[in-house]
Amino acid sequence: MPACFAHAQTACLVLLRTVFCFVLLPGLAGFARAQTPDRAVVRGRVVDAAGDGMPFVNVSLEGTTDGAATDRNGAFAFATRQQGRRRVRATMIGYEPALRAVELSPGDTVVVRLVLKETLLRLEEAVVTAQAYTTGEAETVTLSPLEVVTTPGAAADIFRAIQTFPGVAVIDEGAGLFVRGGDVTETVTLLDQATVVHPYKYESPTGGVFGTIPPFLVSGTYFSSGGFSARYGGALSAVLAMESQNLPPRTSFTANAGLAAASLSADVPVASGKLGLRFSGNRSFTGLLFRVNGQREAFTRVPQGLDGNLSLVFQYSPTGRLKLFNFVSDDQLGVHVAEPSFDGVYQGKTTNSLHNLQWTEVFDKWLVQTSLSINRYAAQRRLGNLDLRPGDRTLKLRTDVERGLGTRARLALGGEVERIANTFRGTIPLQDDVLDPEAAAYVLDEEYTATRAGAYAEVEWQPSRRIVTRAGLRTDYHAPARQAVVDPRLSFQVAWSKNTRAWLAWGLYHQFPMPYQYNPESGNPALRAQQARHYIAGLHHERDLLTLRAEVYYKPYRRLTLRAAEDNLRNTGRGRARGVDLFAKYGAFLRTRFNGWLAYSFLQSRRLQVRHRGRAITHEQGPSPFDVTHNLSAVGKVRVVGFLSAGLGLRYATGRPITPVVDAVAVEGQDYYLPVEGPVGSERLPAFARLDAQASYFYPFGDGSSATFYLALSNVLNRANVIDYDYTADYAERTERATHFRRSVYFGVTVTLNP
Amino acid sequence: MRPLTTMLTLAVLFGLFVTLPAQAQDADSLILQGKGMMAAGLSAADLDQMRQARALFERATGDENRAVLAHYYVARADHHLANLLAETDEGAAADHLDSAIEHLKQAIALEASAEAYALLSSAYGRKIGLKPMMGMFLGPKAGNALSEAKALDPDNPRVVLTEAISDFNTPKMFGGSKTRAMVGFQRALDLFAQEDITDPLLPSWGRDEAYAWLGIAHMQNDARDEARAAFEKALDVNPDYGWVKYVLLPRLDNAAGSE
Repeated sequence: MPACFAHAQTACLVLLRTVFCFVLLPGLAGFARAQTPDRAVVRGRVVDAAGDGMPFVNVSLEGTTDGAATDRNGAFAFATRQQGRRRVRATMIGYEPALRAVELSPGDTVVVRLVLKETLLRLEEAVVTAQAYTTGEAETVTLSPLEVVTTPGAAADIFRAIQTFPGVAVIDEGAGLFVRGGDVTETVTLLDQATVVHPYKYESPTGGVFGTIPPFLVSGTYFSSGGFSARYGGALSAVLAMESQNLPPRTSFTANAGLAAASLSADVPVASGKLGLRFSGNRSFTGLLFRVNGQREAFTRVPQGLDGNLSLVFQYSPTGRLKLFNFVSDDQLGVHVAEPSFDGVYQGKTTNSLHNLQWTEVFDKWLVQTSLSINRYAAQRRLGNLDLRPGDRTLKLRTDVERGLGTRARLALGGEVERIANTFRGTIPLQDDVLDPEAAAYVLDEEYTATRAGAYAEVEWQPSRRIVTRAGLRTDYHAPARQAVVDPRLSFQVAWSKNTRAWLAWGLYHQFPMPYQYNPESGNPALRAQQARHYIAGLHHERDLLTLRAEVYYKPYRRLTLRAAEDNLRNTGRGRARGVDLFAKYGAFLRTRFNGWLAYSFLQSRRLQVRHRGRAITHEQGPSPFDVTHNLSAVGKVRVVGFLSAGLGLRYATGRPITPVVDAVAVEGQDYYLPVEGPVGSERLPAFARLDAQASYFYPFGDGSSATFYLALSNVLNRANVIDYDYTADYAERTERATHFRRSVYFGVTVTLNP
Repeated sequence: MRPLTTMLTLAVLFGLFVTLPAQAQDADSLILQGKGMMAAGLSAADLDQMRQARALFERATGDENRAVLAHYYVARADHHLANLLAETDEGAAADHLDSAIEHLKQAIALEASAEAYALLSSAYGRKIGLKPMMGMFLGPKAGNALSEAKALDPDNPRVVLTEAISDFNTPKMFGGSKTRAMVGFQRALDLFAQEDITDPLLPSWGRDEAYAWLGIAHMQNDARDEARAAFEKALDVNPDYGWVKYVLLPRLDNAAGSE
């Protein structure tokens, strides 16, 4: 051995001894300690689904602090004095916890391998009720109050903004929600658990011009166009659930002045974090708007109204809250109407109020929400021999409770009792559509009441990291119908990856007729619940700023209320709707320079309908009155520079089906005619198209105060959309009735002061 | 050669492949070790250290006597991890903020404290930063949590600091105020100067952060000398403060150099 090598070897030995003594020996000593007879050693590796080691995973014995974090290779080891059968648990954010049972004995070493699988679905975030558009924390598609007021063409209205989502057909310029072939009465509207029985302002057969509830009173909305959960009853097609604002975080005063409205509001935290007060008052006066834009002559009294809101929120403990919401609105209008049997002025006046007390508390692990509400409505409608003063009063008590069942399941239970009273005073035409003041009329002084009691139970269960299911059962009993219905509802969602998921939903839905439809003269005391089934399949993909959704559905109807030959109502109606809804959204409001969405719906809807032939009626299958085959909405918003933003909204819809009048028969001894209709739904109105633009400039000043200037140009192309046909008195000639909402400009300013 | 071979084998075995078993630790030592590791991870912007710290705190939640503190510190580590991940993996950052919120709710359910409420408010605020369109819904939650914190301990410097940061980051149109924030940073620093925490397990963070935010506020007002003084004071409190040392001071220097 050469001397130099011997020296090198000696040097190596010295080095290794040093390493051994100062580096390895303490480790060995530790290992020796761990091997003392009173301790067991648990060692092993944590890997991902691909088998790669996972660093810095927390591994511990359940219920103890004994454990260790994995090293860079996913390996771990720890000593413990625990004995017997125990469970080793590995946890990491974004992954499902992995558990492995081990048998521990002093002095033994147990080796375990734990596999962590990425969490693809989370129970609290899964949208298992098919397609829903929400505001909230978890869902991907949202509609905040700011989104509402900045949506071109939405006129700062929740309902009009929701119309830009798929599944909702555009019928006219109003705010009516016609969902998947159903009419507006098939969508139930809720606020803090209370039913908003009349959700539209300036009501019309197609809903109304605006929603009743202003967007800034609402903190969140949930809109489902089908397949919704057993929580919601009394609706065949859709549900819109809104939540009112909670405690105001700071004092602020807001004043708004526009071409057609002025409002004042105040948010006052009376006791910080405990008690808050919100007040708002709004006066609408469209006279100036119509003078600036023309069309003032169309009205004998321009649409005008007053509404006010007073809300109190009392957060009496970290988990307990009382919320009192009061809303009153009053509106009226007068418009010239040309009916075949009468050419005159329609005058309408409405008062609508909602008072709701909601109590929220957590008992042990149960979240309990209870609401007591009263909704009052009174209207007056006058045209020719029609002088009707309908009203209703709805009292409702509702309770919902829910709790988690471990980490993989959630249970929800609830019940509600609702009592609706309809009153009718005044006169109505004896013969439909014959409004001549001299024509015969019924004199009405009637009141009808109905009580409905409902209850539901629903379980959400996540059997694996990819799958979430929801099973619910709902039952409702309706006193006038003397009928109990049972609605099972199921949905199932599977995630292929973090970005892509698919769902199936099925459910049975019942809706009882309104109380006045049980009247024996023009209704039928034997009416039963109307029924629809929802079959839905959907796909959702989301990546970065892009969201894509597609949903197909089939919705057969049974026992729909239909006017019978004997001139009262029967449950003989039936029909179906089927279609495809597509949705693409890019960007995020306030976050990206550009954001917008594109919604397209294809719909085929047929129903058995009444065909008038003079005094006689027959029934025929045909396209439903709201069978809008193609419906397209495109909304784009861009931040131009600084606080200046602008947006465009385009809506296109196939014209809705109409039943043409092909002939008329004179009524003997009277000066009017009765129509003879052609095949039901055999013609369509011309297609509806509308382009709207909106711009706003935000100017901050002082300490948190601001002014927002806005300018909206509605119906930019000045298109005269046809909303119906008018006939001459003898039905010999037909003319198009075009919208009053031609090109118009609207501007205003909102000032918010934060003292 | 036998001793050499044996030693090499041992070295390889113990140095490279064998993970030595961790000894059973009580919750206090886990929390103390975690706090040290978290501070080091924060200074070096080191994700791995922060994850290890989080794992230690999570283990400490197994001791019911220390569960309140352990949940609080898991949330604090999650909060830091969310900040570190925000630029590179927004989804993971959001997951950590959700976890922070969940752990703080657990801590509050066991024992309501101003510290936990303040951190909860901050976590909501951070989540709004990641997903601004949630501001409309999370903003009130952040406000309510802060109100609870102020009701429980209005003179807690971390509560005052949290409110000031919220005022600073909230856009004016949603009620934020830079002026109010500046007053808040100063008041927090006054309160930090009076604070005397002797129990090493209790939260004591924030003084360096308050100086850092004061410096940022000055920087936005183009008061560069005041900003530099504030950053230097932050480094006096914590000489290893990576955010100030590697991000804020260089940014201040760049701003000065660009003129």
